[in-house]
Amino acid sequence: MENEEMMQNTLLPDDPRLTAYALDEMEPAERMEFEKQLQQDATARQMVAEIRATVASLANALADEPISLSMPAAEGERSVAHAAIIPGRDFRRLDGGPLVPEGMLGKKIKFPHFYYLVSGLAAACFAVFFVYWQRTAPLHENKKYLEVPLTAANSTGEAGGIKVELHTAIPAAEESGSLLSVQVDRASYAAIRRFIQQGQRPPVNAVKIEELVNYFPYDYAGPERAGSKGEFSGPPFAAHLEVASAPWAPEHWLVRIGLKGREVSEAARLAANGTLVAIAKEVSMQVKFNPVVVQAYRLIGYEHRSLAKDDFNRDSITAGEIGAGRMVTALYEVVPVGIEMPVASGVDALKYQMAKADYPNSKARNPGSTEMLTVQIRYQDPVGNGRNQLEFPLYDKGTRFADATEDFKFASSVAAFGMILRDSPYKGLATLADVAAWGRAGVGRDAGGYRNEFIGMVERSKRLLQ
Amino acid sequence: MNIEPEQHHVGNDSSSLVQEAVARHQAPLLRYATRLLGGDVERARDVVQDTFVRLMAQPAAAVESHLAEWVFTVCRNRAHDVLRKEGRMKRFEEGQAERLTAADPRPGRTLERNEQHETVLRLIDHLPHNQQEVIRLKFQNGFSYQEISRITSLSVTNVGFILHTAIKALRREMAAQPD
Repeated sequence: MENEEMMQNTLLPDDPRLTAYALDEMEPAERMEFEKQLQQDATARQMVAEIRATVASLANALADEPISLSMPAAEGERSVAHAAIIPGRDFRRLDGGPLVPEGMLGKKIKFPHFYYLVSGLAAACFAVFFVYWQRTAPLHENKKYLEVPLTAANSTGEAGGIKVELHTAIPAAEESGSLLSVQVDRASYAAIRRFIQQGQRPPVNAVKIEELVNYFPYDYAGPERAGSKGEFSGPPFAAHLEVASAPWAPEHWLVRIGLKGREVSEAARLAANGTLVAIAKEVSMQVKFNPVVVQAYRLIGYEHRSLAKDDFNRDSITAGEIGAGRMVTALYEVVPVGIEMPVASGVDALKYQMAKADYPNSKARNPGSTEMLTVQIRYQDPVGNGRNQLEFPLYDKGTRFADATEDFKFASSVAAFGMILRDSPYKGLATLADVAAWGRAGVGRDAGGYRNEFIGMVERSKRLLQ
Repeated sequence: MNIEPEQHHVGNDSSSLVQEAVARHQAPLLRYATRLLGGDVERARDVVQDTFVRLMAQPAAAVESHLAEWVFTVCRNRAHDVLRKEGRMKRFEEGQAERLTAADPRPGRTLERNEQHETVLRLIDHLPHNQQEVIRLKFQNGFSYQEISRITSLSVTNVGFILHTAIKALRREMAAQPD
């Protein structure tokens, strides 16, 4: 009887659930059900193991696959050269073998072509050097502003395993070299999701918390929209500041700064030759903490930046220019005055900045209340050179985490997940169960299902982190 | 309209989302489109270009949270438009074992390369086109079943089935390879 039942339950090799299970693509309920079946079925377990092994070598091989074929001359020899030095391709073929226009198939490189190959290789070396140079140079040039670059963008090559990104060369001409843009890369999210789906714990340097947090859209209203003729009045940004107790360290505050650029009308977009519309340039954002109430603070994320490069304060963000409708989210953990500094419990105090005494006189502006911090944003209008400054003060109203907005809870959940994956000393009391609970509390409307997908990923990662 | 060069310059600088998209996705998209178009790099370039132009017309907030998925979806649709227009669609119908490459054993290699990866890539190139596409979207671009389903308009079940079939075939082929 029992035998018969087991026979009926045997999973066939054609069952696509084997792969879905191996890739962690199952809903929790289905997964549990399926695991019960697997326990009964050694052959199926073996198949899952084989699928995982196959997938691992597939992913590795595909990470090595050349990313560019050939590109127009403008973007240069770099791309062509990539094709020439592609490992694992037939170097006798001009474009590396596969994907050849049919007429070219099987043609071997003739002798003169060899020179092209050699010069292509030389160009590749130059291009690789040039790209790195382009990527590092602006950071130094902008030091007068740069405290925390919002362009984490180009460092994705570090994220273990996503080698392909490194080849995604930015056409050199497009890098102006002097301005940093408001982008916070979000590639880290896709990378860790891939690791987790493949049943691996993501390596620490693949986890970039600021990228994870900024992967998700938040419900920040922009400032007033343009008038009917596309003219603007009022500031180009809205800042959405919120503070509540930090869920992983309730004696600390967690501050969320959401910046949303003004939306512009379709007409304005068209008037700008079809490109996105700059609403501000030379943007720099600085957060000043009031030492009357703030003892110390740290910007969450950006851990991949080496300490040697961190010889500047982490209290300002240079955004270069900001395009219409963009949003950026930054989180600060704040230690109030009168609380023991976390250094006592073994945390590297260097990551914390002490609040400085040069806080602007807030009493004059708001007698009777004490500001926790002020966000100062300086910018220029896209046309013209006048500097503008916006200030957004934040007051602590003693909000508990449970009473925070959904966006705040969700962003906290994502940040805590990142800290756990990094095994950060700042994670405090946070467990994966907490992360999932906070995420669920903050799931909100979840247009597109991204937040739910995140929560599913947190659930799946429980097994990986035990 | 506005002929001030500075104005133009500002316009270009401003497209941070598009710049980001170009920087991150141009090369993967070009590769993706080239495969969809049967190796036609020129047309692939047009399709990718067109994808970015369409991106420019989008409000940033509407796409930035799922930028990769968005550009891949649009790129795919554009590539299929091109194929349809030229009556080449049938070449890439589902299940057809279209060989885009002719991969022979090649002696006399002088460049350093990982032979195992090379073998795997060659085996992937021999899969039917739809399997190749899903395999690459999954393992090269890191999309989930759900995202692949949205990009390709296949059902999630279908994506799962195609992946399973492809992985099974590759596993068999890989086991058959002499070491």
